[in-house]
Formats: sequence, structure tokens, C-alpha cells
Amino acid sequence: MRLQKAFTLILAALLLLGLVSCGTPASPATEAPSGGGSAPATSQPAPPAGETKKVELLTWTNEPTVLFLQSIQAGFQEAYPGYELVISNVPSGDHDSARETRVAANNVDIISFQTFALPQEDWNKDFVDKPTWQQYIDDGLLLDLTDEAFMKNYSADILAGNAYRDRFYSICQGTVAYTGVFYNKAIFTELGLSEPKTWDEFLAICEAVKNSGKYSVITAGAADNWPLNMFKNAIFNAMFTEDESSEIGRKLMTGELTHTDPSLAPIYTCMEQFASYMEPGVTGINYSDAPGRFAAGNMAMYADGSWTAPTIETANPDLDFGYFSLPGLSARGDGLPPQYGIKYDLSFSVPSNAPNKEGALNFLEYFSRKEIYTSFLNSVGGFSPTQADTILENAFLNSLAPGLQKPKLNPEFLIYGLKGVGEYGANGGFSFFYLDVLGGPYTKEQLAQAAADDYATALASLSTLQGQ
Amino acid sequence: MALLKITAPQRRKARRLRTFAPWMIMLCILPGLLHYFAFRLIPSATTAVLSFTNISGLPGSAFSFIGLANYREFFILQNTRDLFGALTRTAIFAVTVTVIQNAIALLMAVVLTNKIMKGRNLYRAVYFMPVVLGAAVVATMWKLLFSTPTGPIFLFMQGVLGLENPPAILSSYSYAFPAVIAAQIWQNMGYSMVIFIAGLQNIPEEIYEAAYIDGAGEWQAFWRITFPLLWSSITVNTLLAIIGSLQSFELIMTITSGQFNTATLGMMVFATAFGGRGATSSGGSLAGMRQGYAAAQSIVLFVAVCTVTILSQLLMRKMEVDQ
Repeated sequence: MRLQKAFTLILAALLLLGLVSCGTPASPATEAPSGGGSAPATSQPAPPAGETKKVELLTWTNEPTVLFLQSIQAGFQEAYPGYELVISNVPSGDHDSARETRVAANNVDIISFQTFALPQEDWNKDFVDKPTWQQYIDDGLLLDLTDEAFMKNYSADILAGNAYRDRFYSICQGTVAYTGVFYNKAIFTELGLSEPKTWDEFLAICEAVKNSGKYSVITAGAADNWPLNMFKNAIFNAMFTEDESSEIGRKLMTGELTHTDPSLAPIYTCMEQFASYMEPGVTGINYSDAPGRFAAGNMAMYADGSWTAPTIETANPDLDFGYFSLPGLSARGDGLPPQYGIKYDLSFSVPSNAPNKEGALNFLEYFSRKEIYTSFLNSVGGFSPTQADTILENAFLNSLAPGLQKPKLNPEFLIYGLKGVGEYGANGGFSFFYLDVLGGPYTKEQLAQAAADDYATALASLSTLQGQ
Repeated sequence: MALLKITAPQRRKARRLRTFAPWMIMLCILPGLLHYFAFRLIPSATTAVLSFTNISGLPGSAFSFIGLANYREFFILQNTRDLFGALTRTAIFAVTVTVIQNAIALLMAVVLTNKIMKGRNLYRAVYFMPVVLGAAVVATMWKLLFSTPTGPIFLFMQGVLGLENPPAILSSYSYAFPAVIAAQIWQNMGYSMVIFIAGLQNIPEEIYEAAYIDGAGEWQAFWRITFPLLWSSITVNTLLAIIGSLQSFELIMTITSGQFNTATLGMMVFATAFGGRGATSSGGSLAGMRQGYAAAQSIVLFVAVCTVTILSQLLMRKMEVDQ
């Protein structure tokens, strides 16, 4: 009997202990977020001598970036004794969920965003959902960095491009060109090919490689979806100006333009042509495997953003490769080579509830120092500078200069996703994966019609919803 | 007769030995109850309440009650074709997983309870092993297995079957969904098998011996003895598989992210709440982080699961009585 009682008590105690230990430990440094998106950037005192406070940084997995961050951990600790930089990185597909979870758990001090684009505004609030970054700011969950001294290190134009209501809540650490294609210079030389100036020249290159019978034409990490769909932006970039892309996006959203309009037919045609030269099984190739396939040397071209250059270099240091922007239907009138579409990339922000705000701001100050920032760009190799007068030593980055004389903000950040639109209207209605050349259900004409139908349905539903 | 007489003190002692005191029973139940309230009932009730709000899910963000707006949006704005596509896939997923998983599990259980089978415990452990693996581990294995163009399945189709341009299974509109179903069955079959093994071991040997003496064959013994006496296990397994597969999104999330016609209702709920490509059935035009709207989707899913569960339980009970 005594044994039974003892057993019962121990069992109950253990289970209760288990339940209790499921709770989140209280964080003495936790502060409630302030409203209005303008939380003060002041916080806690520096740690007492001999004590180390962790500065938790979360970003997505980009190997060169992560390696660089690791390489400056010691330097940061030396510059700011008492602080220790802890870096977490997760694959890009899982990053946003991880970020939201860490912020909810109050255990991250520096978080990463891509770009603060496509906000919900008065004119479009009936058509689009509020993007996550805007929710963060509107709910007062990000520190306002506008008045921090280190912001002056960055180019005013870049800061303005990522501003929200004239305030800055993130620091963009680099822009990337991502409307281009990597190419194997040895294969191009062997086949007598050069960088194309027009779409027809590009198709001729693809045809020449295909006819050689020795090499695959183009690969991409298409299994992850976005790397291939990114190239619809490249095609937009090649054919339209920023204003034109923006206007197309607005008109599609309001129903003034449909996807079956003849003016958009070249987009679908180019998408189909581009897709038809992808290597067999491309939709099953993981993004992480794709650079290695190109680096192996038997692939003439690889569709990806400039940030992948260091990964290719690491995979095969002997590979001689270049990068060119997808050209438009005709050559540019100003004599320049096809110009890249760019986007703001890695941007650091500080959550209002960060347990170590001072450490986070100290790290951002340290990172923004000219010598550290320049070293970052040269090491990572895929980002163009967001600080003025940055002198680059990276040969690949310098090779992009001719295509960055008149860069354009990429259409990805100009064309909104319509609220409630069906699957064929996703990605603005220009999804590669539905094309029959990639195993999808539709020809290019059918896809245009399906996208138009989905937009029309969504617009009608929105009208019904708003009429109630 | 005197030998069988039990005195009152002896009776009390025997009762004490047989049973726990009421307070002990309550104490044992308490952690379970607390767990149920803390992690099941309260979150479920909260989800129902939140479905009438515009909460985003970002920590500390303000929210307000918006009545039935989320439900109205779900039934009006959600693309009908995509919604029915997701519902159809959810139904196909649930039915296929339930039938095939239980059929294989029953077969394996019968084989692995057969006394002539050597190394039964080892096989049981091996077949049960996928149950303890997380969705991420299973997804990684399946992605490697089916990866293109270097995965073993791709190479098999190319080298052995002689296909010149084999399909990329996990990014195919035709094959991705069956592949995810196969992964779900592979992962959970061991759990059903263990329940069947427990059920089989409870069937007395004497019944079979009597049947064999009466001339029954193996097949007759299975249909006339094993199957009816195993019915309660079949009921449990069926309900568990239906509920599990209707709610399932982890493997879909980790293997295909809801693309290529693999988004079920559970996947759509997750993507809406936490962001991701499955917020619509295969594209993701919703911004994510709309937990109030996702809560409304969850309630719709709950109603669907509840209806199917009650109907299937009624059906199984009727069949049990008929047996």
C-alpha cells in the first residue's frame, strides 16, 4: 500500500514537473513593444565587467554571408567587450517562420528581411494583404533606426528605397542583380558564343549549345519554385521600364488589363522559350544542388542571382564564368548592354522586444564601419554596395558594372499579388510551373487565359465582399 | 465450504489491494487533465474565439473583433476551384492513407505474429522505426530518394526502366501527391501495425485450435475469427488514420510546400497562419501571418474532420454490431 502511494505521488510529481517545465523561462530583459512603430532606440546598460551578453542574430542561409558573420565575431567582441555575437541561420524557405517564432519567443536581437516593398496603401487596400514587414512596423514591433548615427554611413538613395513613411526600420546591406544568367566562358568560347544583346541572340546561344550535343543548356534550382519564377521578373525587366511594369501591375489588379492582352503575349512566349531550354528534370533540382551542377563544367548556363557567384567559385575554383542580364526583344537604344534588374537584399532590423537592444545596435554600428562593410562585400561577392564610395576588390562584382549603369528595381517589387486570386494568378499570373514544357497543364495561351480568369474571379469576389 | 469463507477484514484488505483510494486516482488523473486543458482544450477554444478577430500572429500586435468577416472572406473570396481542389485532395489523402495504411499494417501484423516467423521482434522494431522519426527527417529522406537527376529513383527510371526523360516525381503535377501519400503511409504504418499486433495477441489460441479441428483453413480462420475479433483494433486504427490524415500538413509542408497540387486544407491553414507557398492551393498569393483568418479556416477544417469522424464512427459501430 505504501509502495502504491509512493508510486502515485512520484508519478504525479514527475508529470506536473514536466508540465511546468514546458513553460517559457521568464526573461528579465523583456520589454513590451511600444506602439506606433517608433520605439526608442535606447535600452539597457552595458553588461558589467566580466559578464558577457549575447547578441542573437538570425538570418537565412547564404553560406558566404554566414561565414563572414562568423569571421567577425571575435572582432565585434573586441570592439564591444562584454558582447558576444551568436549567429543562427535557416534555409530561406523556412526563414520567415523561424523569424516570427524567435520574435514571439523574445530571444532574437537582430532579424533579417529582404526588402520593404509592395506596401498596402490607401489606393490598394481593397486588393492586397498587408505584407509581413508592414505588419511589423505598423504594430510597433521594429525599432526605428532613423536617428542612429551609423545610418549616415549608408547611401541616402538606398535608405530612401527601403523607407516606410520616411522612417528607416532596417539597414539594407547590399543590392543584388538577379535578372541574369551565369555562363561557362570555356563553353561559350569553344562554341564561338558571346553575351547576347537581344532575345533572338539569346535563343541562338541556347540553340547552338543544344545542337553541340555535348552540353546541357540551362539549369536552375527549380524545385524550390522561386528560383525559376524569378525569371519571369527577368523577362519583365528586359522588356519594360520600371514605370511600365508598375503600371501593368496596377492595371492587372484593377481589371483594366488582362493577361490575354496582346501587349503581354511576349512575356508568355519568352517564358515558354526560356523554359524549353532548361535541362530535363529541372523542376526536381533543389536550389542547393544547382550551383554544383553548373560548377561541374558541363552546363552552359545557370539561371540565378548574383549572390550565388561565391558558391560557384567555392564549388569549382577553376571554373571561368561570367554573368549577363537577360536581353530584351531588341537592343537598347543607348548602346548600353542589357541592364540588370536589382533588388534590396539582406536587411537587418532590431525587434522592439529584443532582449539585448543595445548589443544589437552596437553590432549594427560595428558592421556599418567602412572597413568591415567593404570586407563583407568583398567576401560575400554577390552584393553591390549600399554605402557610398565603397571600393570593391571582388572581380566578379566589378564585372557586373557595365550592366549596372542604369539598373531598374525589379518587377517583383512592383507587381502586387492580388488578394484571393487563384493558383494560376499567383506570381502575378506568370508562373513557369504551369507551362506544359515544364510538365505543367497549360500551353502559354491557356496559362494566360487561366491567369486572366483567376484575376477576374478574384476581382468579382472582392467586389461582392466589399458590397456586403 | 468453510475454506471459501472470507472475513470482513480480509475483504477490506483485498479491496485496498485491488484499488487505489479516490484521492490517488484524482492525483493520477490531474496531470493528464492539466495537459488536456492547457494544450488541447484552451488552445482549441482560443482558436474558435480568434477566428472572429483580425489577429496577425505577430507578437504584441493589436487586434480586434471583426465578427464573421473571416468566414465571409473564406467562403466568398477564396477561389472556389482551389478550395474544392484542396478539399478533394484532403478527402483523397484521408481515404487513401486510411485504407492502404491499415491494409499494409494488418498484413504486416499478421505476418509478424506468426510463430514460424524468425526475428519477429527485430522486424517489428524496424517497421515501427519511421513512427519515431520527425517529419523533417522523413521529408529529407524522401527528397533524397526522389531527387532529380541524381536520386536513386530517377536513376532507376533512367537506367533500368529505360525512360529517356523521367519525371521529377516531387515536382510533378501527376506524381507529387501520390508520393506524399506514400510518405505518410510509410511513416505511420508502424503505429497501426503495433495496435493490430496487440489486438492479434489478445485472440485466444484455443479458438483457432477449435476451428482447425473443425476443418477450417487459414483463410477461413482469418475471415471468421481474426477479422471479427480484431474489429475494435480496426475501428481504432481507422479513426486514428482518418483524423491524422485529415489534419496532416507536416509532410506536405516539408516535402512539397503545398506546391504541385499537394495542398490540403491543413496545409492551407498552416500557410495562411505562418506564411508559405501553400496559402492558396499552389501559389501563395496571400501574405501569410493572418492567424485570425487561419483560425477561421481551422474551424472549417474542424467541422469537416468532426463530421467525417462521427459518420465513420457510426458506420464502424454498425459494422461492429453486424460482425
